[in-house]
Amino acid sequence: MQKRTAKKISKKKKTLRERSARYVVQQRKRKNAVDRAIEFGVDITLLQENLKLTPAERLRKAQNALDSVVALRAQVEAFRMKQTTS
Amino acid sequence: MSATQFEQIIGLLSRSHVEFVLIGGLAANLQGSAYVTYDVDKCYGRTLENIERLCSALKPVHPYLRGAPRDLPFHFDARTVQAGLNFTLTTDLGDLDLLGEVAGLGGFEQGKISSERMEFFGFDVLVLSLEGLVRTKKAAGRRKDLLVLPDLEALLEMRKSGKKK
Repeated sequence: MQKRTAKKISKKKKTLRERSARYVVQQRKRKNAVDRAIEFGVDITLLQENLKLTPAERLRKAQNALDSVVALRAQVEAFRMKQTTS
Repeated sequence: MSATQFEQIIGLLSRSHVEFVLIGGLAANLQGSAYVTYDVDKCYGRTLENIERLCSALKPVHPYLRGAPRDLPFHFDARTVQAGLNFTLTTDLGDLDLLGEVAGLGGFEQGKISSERMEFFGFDVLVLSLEGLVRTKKAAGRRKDLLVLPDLEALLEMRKSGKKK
């Protein structure tokens, strides 16, 4: 009798565990892509700002970003060269 | 190292009526992504006429295989392009990747179906859609591609929810 009750309790526990695991998976699936991106570290405000721009403005912005990166890299390189020569 | 000139490269090919779909990082930028991209990726049409147009359009900017030694005998002409498929080039205007086939997408004709027309700086350009970009990034599966995925999927969701309102 005791054995049977213990078995019943363990079965109940198992189903509960399975159900909660299923729930977590479902919740994860329910989470939308924006929430997932925020969780990943994406700054959504940047995307929102970009969506307000025209394609030409977006292209210009991409060009400015690249120009800045390249200019910065050149500065860093020049600084390193100076450091090694001095 | 000088920065790739996006507008000039697009203009050069568009003025010569080269058939292409803008893909990769720049297409993602045009769709709203905030990632910095360094080159221009294009999926080009593989017909002989288009390849000839592509080669003569790029001739003035001296296309050369990126990373290859300078003494390598390389001529970017119709014969070379027909014999190959995907080319990673460096030009006087910066880096340009020309792809005849793209993983998760296919060739130019399939790319055309998955793209949208965008008008900028007086050019009418085919740009790969967000759905297409997600497919290609997933298929490429490299770390740098997977990093952009949350950005692209969020943009897709934002666009969808914007349409619902």
